[in-house]
Amino acid sequence: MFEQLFKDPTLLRRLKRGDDDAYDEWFLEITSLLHAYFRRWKVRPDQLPDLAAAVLAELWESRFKDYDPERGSPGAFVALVARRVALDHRRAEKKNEALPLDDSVDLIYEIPVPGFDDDGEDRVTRLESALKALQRRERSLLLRKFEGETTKQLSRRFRISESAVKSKLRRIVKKLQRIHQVNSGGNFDP
Amino acid sequence: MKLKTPKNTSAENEVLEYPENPEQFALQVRKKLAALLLNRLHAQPVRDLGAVVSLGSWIASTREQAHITERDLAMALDLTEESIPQICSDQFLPWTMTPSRMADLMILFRLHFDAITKFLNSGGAERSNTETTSNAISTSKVKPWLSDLREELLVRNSEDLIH
Repeated sequence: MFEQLFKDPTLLRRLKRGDDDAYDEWFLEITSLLHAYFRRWKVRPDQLPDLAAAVLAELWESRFKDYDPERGSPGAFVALVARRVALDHRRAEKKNEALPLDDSVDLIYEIPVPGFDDDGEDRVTRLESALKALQRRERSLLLRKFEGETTKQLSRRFRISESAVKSKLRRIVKKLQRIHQVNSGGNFDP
Repeated sequence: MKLKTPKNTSAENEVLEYPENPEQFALQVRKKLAALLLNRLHAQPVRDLGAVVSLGSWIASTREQAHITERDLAMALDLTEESIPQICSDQFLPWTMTPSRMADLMILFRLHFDAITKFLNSGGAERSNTETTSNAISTSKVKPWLSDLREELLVRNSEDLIH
């Protein structure tokens, strides 16, 4: 799809001469193509400018020095760089995969964030003691989830099914919330 | 885990999602690209301009090192293209720029506050612009400007350029 960037010999000649308007024209075309390319990778719209800029930075910095005409066209080279950026992005997204979209997420939002609550520090201390009150295995499961492990990885690590991981996580968060309520002066109703 | 590239079929090509406003998208990318290239060049904030004659010449040489055109830089800073050569040839003394404009420049070029103060203390601004030596650095002018600049950087969460 990037072949069309290199098809207009007049534009390329103007680019070589350092014509700023030709550069603008070419830039408009390559950014539109990169937009379309990354949308196919299901990249979120707000992340598109960053990814397009990352591809262009690679091209600018390498100044096409990695480009080998014997291995393919310049368009294919742009596609290769774009693919590399898309893969890196996808890997990073996988790594930062959020908590499962179940009710535990809503419960986690109940946990206060220091700086957003007047008594944040106290609540964090109480939450720390609530975490310590969990069983070792429960705490380990919850913390590993927070550290980014997927349900599948947790399932292998703790030798339980994936659905068991999800239900345990839900129960642990609820338990943590109950302990936290008691520590905050509320009633504990196990 | 093997990640797969989306298949490039002709049917998919027909539904490629081009930007709704290509010019606006290109502008966004251009700004990001300038910031990215300069950030890669100076991962850590620049605390000393070194042996350069002036702030303008430092900006000009850094722009070239980062392979950024004057137009890219103008777009990244929301300035007119004509103002870039003026900045690079020191037609503006640092403190004649608004703290906000200077903060834009510092954030984009990763220029630390210390670099600016060192430059001013060393008389760099006077050396770089002989025509303005009559406007000798007036402490009463520069000090409040530096204080406003520091404030502006703090407001923009650019603590790394201050501490």
